[in-house]
Amino acid sequence: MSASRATSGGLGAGRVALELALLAAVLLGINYLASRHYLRGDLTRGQTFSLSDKTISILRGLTAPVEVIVFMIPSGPGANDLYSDTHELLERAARYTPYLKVDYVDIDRDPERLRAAAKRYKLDRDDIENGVMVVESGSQSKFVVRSELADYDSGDEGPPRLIAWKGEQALMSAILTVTEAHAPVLCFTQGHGEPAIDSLEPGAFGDFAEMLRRDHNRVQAIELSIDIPTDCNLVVMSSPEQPYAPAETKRLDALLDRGGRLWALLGPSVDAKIEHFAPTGLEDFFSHHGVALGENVVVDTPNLPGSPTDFFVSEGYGEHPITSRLMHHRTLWTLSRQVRAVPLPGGEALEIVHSSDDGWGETDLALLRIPPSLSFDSKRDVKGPISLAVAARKKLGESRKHSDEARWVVLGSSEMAASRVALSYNRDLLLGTVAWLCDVGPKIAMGPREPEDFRLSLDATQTRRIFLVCVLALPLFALFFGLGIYWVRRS
Amino acid sequence: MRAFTIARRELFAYFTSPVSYIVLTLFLAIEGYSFWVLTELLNQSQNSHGAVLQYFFGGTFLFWLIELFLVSVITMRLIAEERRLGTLEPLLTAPVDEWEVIVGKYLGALGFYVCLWIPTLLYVAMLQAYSPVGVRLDLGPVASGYGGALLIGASTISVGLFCSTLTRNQIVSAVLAFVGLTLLLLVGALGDAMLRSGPWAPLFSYINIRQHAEDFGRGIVDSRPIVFHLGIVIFSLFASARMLEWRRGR
Repeated sequence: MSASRATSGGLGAGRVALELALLAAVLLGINYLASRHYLRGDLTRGQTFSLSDKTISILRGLTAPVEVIVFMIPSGPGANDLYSDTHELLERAARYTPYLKVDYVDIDRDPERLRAAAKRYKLDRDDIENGVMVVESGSQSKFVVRSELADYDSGDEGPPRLIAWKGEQALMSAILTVTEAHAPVLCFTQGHGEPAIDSLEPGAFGDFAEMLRRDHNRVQAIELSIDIPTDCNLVVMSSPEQPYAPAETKRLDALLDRGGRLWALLGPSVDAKIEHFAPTGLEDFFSHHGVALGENVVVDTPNLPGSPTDFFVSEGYGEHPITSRLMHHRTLWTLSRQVRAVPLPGGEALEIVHSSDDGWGETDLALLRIPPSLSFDSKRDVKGPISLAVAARKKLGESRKHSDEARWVVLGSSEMAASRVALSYNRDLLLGTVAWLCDVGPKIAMGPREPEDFRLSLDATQTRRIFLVCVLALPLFALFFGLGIYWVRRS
Repeated sequence: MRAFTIARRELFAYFTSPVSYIVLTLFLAIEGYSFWVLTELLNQSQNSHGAVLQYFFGGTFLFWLIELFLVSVITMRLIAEERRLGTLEPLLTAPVDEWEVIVGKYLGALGFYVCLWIPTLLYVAMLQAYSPVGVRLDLGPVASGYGGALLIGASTISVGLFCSTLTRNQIVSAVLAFVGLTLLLLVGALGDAMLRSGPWAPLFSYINIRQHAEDFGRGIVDSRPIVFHLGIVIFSLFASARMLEWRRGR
């Protein structure tokens, strides 16, 4: 020690500065290494933030670059409540692979980047308001939206409360989706006055097609006057202005015979004067395939103000993969017809969405021409609950190699897909239908994480007691104890 | 060993100083108020999800106000007062090294800081006592929250101690520490908030001590903030010892 004293006695400012600079350099190096190689533990009881072994294995197995771009407001007014969980998920995921690059676009503070990204990824207002994550690899991309990240309990009052965090499954599904080379090809039939997939006019399918593309699908138009291309994974047809010809429905027959997949969005078809229901040319085809198309317009409550044909369904969902996430959530049905399941030899047809018991199938088309004062007519109208969607499947024989079963879905509305203001659960219904038909459901099965839900139910006396103990008694005890010590020392 | 003797002496000095009790009173009043507000939030049906005490550990302005204030006050006297009273020289002529003086004083201040937090364990006990039947408080995030408070206290106290070696005036020392620590807090927090992407984003995220505290409060224990804060402790203590040595040699 005395030696140390002797040498340090003449310590110069230059030497001190040099030593400090050296130590700073060493510590900076250590911190740099620590930032590259770190551990991130999770002390929560439910391991809320930890990644599953399956996720870690997928991440370690990545061989192609994947970029995740997060569009969310992290803090301040309008902050996205999922930001910190999303950030935590990506932070942990990036630990396991050098191929995962994460970028954040602060919607609030980075308008320039937001504008460029909005143009590139075609973000809409919902994306910006609710936040969205775009997962991209090469030319493939997939959007992960709020409803895929978390489940909320709407509750009786106040804002919805988060009850389940599903971000890990959503991210992994998206990564697996974009790293696969093949995106399902969805072929929209055209040529009968169907809504155009490249138009953003009211009633067109431009937004719908874009929504499908964002969910990692390829969208193209086809004519049924020629054979259906073999690369079509799903044929999508909607309410026609001119009926389908028998030769065209034969091609649909052939499609289902070889295990193809078909989705029909068929709202009420009416003549030009809106006086009579018009044939679609699909009535016989579907009746042979377990679906009967009703000639009526479904009316129900609750509905949009002044529009009884724009109603909500929140409870009438059947047990089916398409509707499994929708129970207690509202989907908006616009200008819908009844579609019923009828016996399907060798297969099954299930009604998966119903109106409420109070709804009915209105047969008087006057409701579409003049503001209605509607009432149920037991002689002409169809009593609720009215089936609004049917999902059917049929196993094929051993000899058919293309697919082992044919699947088809008929929704009794095409307007719900054409609406520019797609409710989030309408989106879930539409994308869920594509996922079931193309058999591309979640790529990875993983249970949601339930965050800690700790709530107190204190009465006024207990609240007052906490205030008295914590804010008054404890600090005053410390103060008087200090005064006591001071007094003792003085005396 | 001699450092521990100095630490014990320092800790005793804290408990016999009226200023320490004023600091303790203020700390408990503000933390108690924060806790009471938290229980009000938890008493509402629509509280947000996540660890119960995450906002108690670094999630509020009050937390940082009291943290920076109390660290500045409990460290201001460590060296500055000894120099003002002229007791530093006798201490250094005793058979102790500068390092031992610095580490001893640092451990004493850190010990007092820990003592400040101990009464807040009553809050946890109250939450347990008032929790609904069948619901148990998740103690993991609570433990990591306290761990985070200790870690941040350790690094900020070391900065405060260094400031105390720079002057013989306690008020100047406290102001220096408060300004320095506020800068440390703001540079990380504001930088991280303003630059979430780009080449500087990882740096600001790394030094964002506000985020460190919040993460610990949520039950997330990361090795990076631990290395960062221990780095600050080592640098500050080394700089303090060298400063003491240099001043003595002048």
